[in-house]
Amino acid sequence: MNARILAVIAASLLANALSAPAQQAPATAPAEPQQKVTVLSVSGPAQKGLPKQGGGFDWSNLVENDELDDLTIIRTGLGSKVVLKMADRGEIVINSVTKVGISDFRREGRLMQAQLGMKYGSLRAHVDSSKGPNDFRVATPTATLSVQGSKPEVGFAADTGARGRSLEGRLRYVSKLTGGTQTVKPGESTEEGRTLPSLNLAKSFMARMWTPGMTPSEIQFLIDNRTGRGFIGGFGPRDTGSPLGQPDDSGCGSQLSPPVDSCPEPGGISESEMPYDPPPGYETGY
Amino acid sequence: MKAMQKYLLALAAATIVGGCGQSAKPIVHPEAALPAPEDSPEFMDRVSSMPEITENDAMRGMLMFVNGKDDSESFEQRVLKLQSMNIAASSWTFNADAALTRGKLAYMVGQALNVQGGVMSMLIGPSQRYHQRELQFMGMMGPGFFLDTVSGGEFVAIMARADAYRQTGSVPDVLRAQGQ
Repeated sequence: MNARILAVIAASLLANALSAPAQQAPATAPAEPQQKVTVLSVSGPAQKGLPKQGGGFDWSNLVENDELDDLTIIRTGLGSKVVLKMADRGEIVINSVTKVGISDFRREGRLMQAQLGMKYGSLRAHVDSSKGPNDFRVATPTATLSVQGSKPEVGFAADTGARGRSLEGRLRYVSKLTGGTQTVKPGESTEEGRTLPSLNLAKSFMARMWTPGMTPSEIQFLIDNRTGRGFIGGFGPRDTGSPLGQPDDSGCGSQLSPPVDSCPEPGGISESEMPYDPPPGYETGY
Repeated sequence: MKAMQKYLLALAAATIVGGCGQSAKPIVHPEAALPAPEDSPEFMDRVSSMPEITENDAMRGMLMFVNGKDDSESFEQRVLKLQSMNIAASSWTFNADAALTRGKLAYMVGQALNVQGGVMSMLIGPSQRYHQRELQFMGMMGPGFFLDTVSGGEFVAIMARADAYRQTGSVPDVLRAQGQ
């Protein structure tokens, strides 16, 4: 009996050992090298910064045809504009008085992943999905905005928070403070206050307390002015007259926390597959 | 009725005399310096995380806005340059280390952009309070008391809006301040 049991165990171990190499075979296409971001044009004062050993950044003037790696930070000054080319997936226009970092730009199979971190300012992107799916997102101190193939406009100001506007395609907004989401259609803008129900006020306040680059008065200002009613007077966000419209016939777009699984995607990966926890790095406080 | 006329005349005379006699107030810490010449990307980055922006830094920012650079060597030079362009009022009290107020910032931005105010502004001339209301209406500043201080982040946001307005004639939706 013991010999039989031992034989079965031995056979099982042998089978596992033989099948192991087959399991280790790559199931997905290997990640391709990091993609380059190329500077198409620069007008006005603009600088790029690269992390240096021992902390801090080495800053130098940004010039045309510069190739930028991950972890490069760009800051523009008054009266300036920078246009970047994201490999074969579109362009980004960085407006004046903006600080933005390239925290990730890589290709995995056909999927192009790009994440920018914005400390202040605004940008406009044209994400081209004709060459394959994209996961393009801009993380600000208070929210992450993402698209798969469209023309979003994103801005962050210390006194009003993050805001996005879709010029083409759908734009998704995820608040880092409450987890509230919005999906807007072309011509619509997100509204930070609409993701801050007053029940989450304490949570959002605590979260903002640790948001680098924002002072307590700015935090309080955002809470006071974006949530409207506060602790007194009822629940739910104030109607700030945002340009958010009504949901379309399919029930998608123009709504808070939409049933994402039922909303058709214009292409690329589905929203439910997108991990909305931003990777640590350049999204805040650099 | 005559008594009322006399009273109004006396009041007007007192106002005129008081106005004429109003001399420029001394500048506190006139020699205060700032980091070596910096350009606007570096400056905006530096001040963006300040809990409160000082008048010295704000004056540098305004000079960069109107001249593209600030090569002044002291706070006093910055103030005199801005006064000569009618961007800062000579009646103000200036202190290099004091926090900038919303009213002063609104006045300077409004003057730099040549913002035309409403009827009251036309009657009494530019003022901090009316410039602030005008900038709120334009979506350049959020609501607040004009004597409140300005944080570095708020200063950068307002300058970004003012710069966009100067270039395009409007404030972008994604940066527009609301709640006026």
